[in-house]
Amino acid sequence: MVAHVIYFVESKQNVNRLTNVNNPAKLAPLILIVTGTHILRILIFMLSMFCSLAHSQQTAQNLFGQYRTALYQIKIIELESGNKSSIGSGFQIDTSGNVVTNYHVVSEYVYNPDKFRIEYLAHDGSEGQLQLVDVDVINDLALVRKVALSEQESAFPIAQSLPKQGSAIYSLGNPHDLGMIVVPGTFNGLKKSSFYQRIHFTGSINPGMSGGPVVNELGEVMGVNVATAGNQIGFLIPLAKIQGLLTSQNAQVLENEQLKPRIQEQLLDNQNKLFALLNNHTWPTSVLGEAMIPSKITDFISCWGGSNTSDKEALYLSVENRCQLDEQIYLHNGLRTGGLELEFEWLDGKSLGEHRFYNFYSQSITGAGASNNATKTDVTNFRCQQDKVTNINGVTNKTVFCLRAYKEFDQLYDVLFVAATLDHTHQGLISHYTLAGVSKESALVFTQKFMDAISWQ
Amino acid sequence: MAIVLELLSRKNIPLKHYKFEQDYVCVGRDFNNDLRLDDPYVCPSHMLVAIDPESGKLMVNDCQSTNGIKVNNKFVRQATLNSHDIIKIGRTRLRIIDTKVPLVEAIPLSELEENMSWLNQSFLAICLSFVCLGFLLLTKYLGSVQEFNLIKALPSELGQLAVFSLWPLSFAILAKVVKKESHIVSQFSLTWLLVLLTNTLILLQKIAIFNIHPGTWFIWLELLIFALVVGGFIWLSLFIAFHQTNHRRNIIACSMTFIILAPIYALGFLNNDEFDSRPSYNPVLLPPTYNLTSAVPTDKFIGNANSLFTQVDKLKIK
Repeated sequence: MVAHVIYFVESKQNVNRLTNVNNPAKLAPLILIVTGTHILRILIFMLSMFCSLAHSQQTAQNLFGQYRTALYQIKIIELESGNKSSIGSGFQIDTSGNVVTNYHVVSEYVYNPDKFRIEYLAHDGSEGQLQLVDVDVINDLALVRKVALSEQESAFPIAQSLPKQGSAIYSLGNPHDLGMIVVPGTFNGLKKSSFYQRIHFTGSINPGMSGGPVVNELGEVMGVNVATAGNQIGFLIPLAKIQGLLTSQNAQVLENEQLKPRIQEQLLDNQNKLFALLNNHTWPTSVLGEAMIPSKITDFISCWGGSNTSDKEALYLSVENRCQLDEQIYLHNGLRTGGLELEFEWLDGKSLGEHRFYNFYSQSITGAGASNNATKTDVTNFRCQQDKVTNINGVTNKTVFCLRAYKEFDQLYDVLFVAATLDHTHQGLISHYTLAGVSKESALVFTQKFMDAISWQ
Repeated sequence: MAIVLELLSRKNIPLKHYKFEQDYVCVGRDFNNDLRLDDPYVCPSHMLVAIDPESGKLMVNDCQSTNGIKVNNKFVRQATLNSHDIIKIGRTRLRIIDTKVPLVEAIPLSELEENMSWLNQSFLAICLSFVCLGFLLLTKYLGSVQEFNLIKALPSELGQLAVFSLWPLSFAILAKVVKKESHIVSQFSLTWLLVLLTNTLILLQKIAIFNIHPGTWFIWLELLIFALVVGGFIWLSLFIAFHQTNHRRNIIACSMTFIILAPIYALGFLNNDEFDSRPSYNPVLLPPTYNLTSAVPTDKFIGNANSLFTQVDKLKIK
C-alpha cells in the first residue's frame, strides 16, 4: 500500500518532464521559427520547453478539475464482514448515473450476488450503492448504476474516434484514498493481430486503477484500463468495445439469476465467432521434422519455437513449435477461459534404438494438463477417449481426446488433445492442443480439421 | 501293555519320548524311578502312572509330593487320564500316551510336492537370479534417455533383487524355526519365477491396452489376474515351507492375499474421481512391431467423441 502511494507521487512529478520530451508535435513549429544565431536558438528552445511544460500542466490540471467528480472508486463489500474485498475504479458516462468499470472488478458480485454488494466512493468522500446493469465479460467491461442520484451529476464525454498514433493519452484512476490519479502515456495504436482488441499503453497501470477511463487531451474517453494480475504491460480496452456496452445504457438492472445466462450467452457468442474464423479457411502448414503441421493457423495467434540442438549430450533431437492466443477471458478468481494453445514436438531418436525411443516417446505424452487453472467448483473432471486413428493423409496417431464441462455454463467445455504418430521406428510427432470454453460443435469441427491437417512430407 | 511318556516343552512341543513295557511307571527325582526327572521342584518319588486293571485306562497317583500333580492345570491326587491331557509336575510337563488309541491316518504324499522338486536345484535358482538381474537392467536401459552406464545402474538393481530376496528368506527362516527344512533354494527359484512372470504380464498388459484401448472391464481383469498371481505365489510359498493341510493353507493364502490387496483396492476406490486438472489417460506408445490392430479413420473417431460430451454432461449433475 505504502509502496504504491510513493510510486504514484513520484510518477506525478515525472509527468511534466516526460510529456515535454515526448511531444515533438508541439516543439516542431517553434523550432522551425529558429533562424537566428546559436544563442537565439537556445533561447527559443528554452522558451519552447517552458511553453510545452505549461501546456501539459494545463492539460493535467484541466483533467483534474473537470472530471474529478465523475471518477469513482468501486468497492466490492462482503456482506458478512461488512468490509471491502476488492477495489477498482469506475467513471460516469451520463447524468442518469451509469458508471463503467471492469468486469473483473465486480466479478465477485457476479458470482455470488447474495454475498456481496457494490459501492462507490466519490472524490469528496461520499459513498453510495451501485446496481449491476450489464456486463461484457469478453471485453472485461461492466455497467453499473448509482441507486441514488445527487443534484449535480457530471459525466465523461465519449470520444468519437481513436486519436492519432503517438498522441498523448491519460489513464485515470482512483485506486487509494488519494483521490484521482493521472498516469500519462502514449497511444500506440491497436494491436494489429489480435482477436480481442486491446490498446497497448506505455504507462504503468496499477491494480486499483482497473476500470478507470483513458482520455485523450480533450478529456474524452477512448479506452478503459485493464490491469489484471498477469498483464505486466498495461492494456486498455478500446473505444469500440465501450460503445457496444452503451447500448444497455437505459436497460433494466439485471436480476441475480440473469447474470450467469448473460455471461454464458456472451461466451458462446464469442467462441462461435472465434471458431468460425479458425475453422472457415484452410490452415497454412509448415515443416517440422519430416511432418507438415498446421502451426500458425491464423494471424491472431503468436508462435514460438525451440529445439535441443544446443544440448550436445542429448541422444535425441527435439524440435518444438508452440502457438497460443495471447488473451484470455477473465471469469472470476483466477479462472480464465477462451484460451487456445497448439503445440507440436518432433522427436528423432536415432541413437536411442527402437524400444528406448518408444519408452521416451511415451513419457513425452504423459501428464498433459489443462491450460487454465479451473477448480472443482468451475468444471467437472476430465473424461478421455483414446484410439488409434489414421487421418486422410495416411498418418496414424495414437489419439487422446479429453473433455470437461463447465458446471456453471451449459454447452461450454474445455478440450485437451494429445496425439503421437506411430508410423516410424525412431521418430515421431507429438501434436497437442487445449481449447478453453468451447461448444461441442466448434470443438468437434476444430478437432477433425486439426487431425486431418497433419501429413508427412 | 506299554506306557509311553512324552516330555514336552513349555509350548507343548514334544521333546523326548519314553516307552515302558510294564503296567506302572514311577516318576520322580530319585535315581530309582523308571523315569527320572532332573527338576528341583519334583519330589524324589513324585508320581505313579499305572494302568487300571479293570477299565484298562491310564491313571496318575500322587505319591504325597510337595508340589502335587496338575492335570490340565487342575491339582489332583488321583485321576483317570484321557488322551491329550497334559500333566505338570514341578516345572516339567508331560503327556502320557495310551498306545491303544489309534493314530490319525498319514497325510498322503501330494503329487505336487514331487513335481515341485525341480525347483530345489541350486543351479536353476542361480540361473534364474541372473536372468532376473538381466531383465531388470534391460528394463532400466530401455527406460533411460541419457547415456547408459552399466556400472552405475548395477547397485540399484542389485538392491532391488535384495528387496525381493526378503520374501524367500523370511519363509526359509520361518520353516527353520518350526523345525522343518528351510527349502531356501526352492523359495528363491519361486520368487525369481514370479518376478519374471509379473514382468511378462506387464508387457502383455501394455500390448493389450495399446492395441485395443479397452474400457473399465480391463481394470477388473487386471485386478483379478493380480489377485490370482499374488494368491498363487503365497500358496506355493506356504506349500514349500510348511507341512499343512490343504484347508489350512488355503485359508492362510486367501487371508494374506486379502491383506495385501485390500489397501490397494480401497485406495483405488477412495481416489475415485477426485478432481484433477490433469486428465487420466494411458500414454503407452509401442513400436510399429507391436501395432497389431488396425486404426480407425478420423470421422469415426469424431463420431465416437459425441458420446463423450454426454458423459461429461452427466458428471455435472452429480
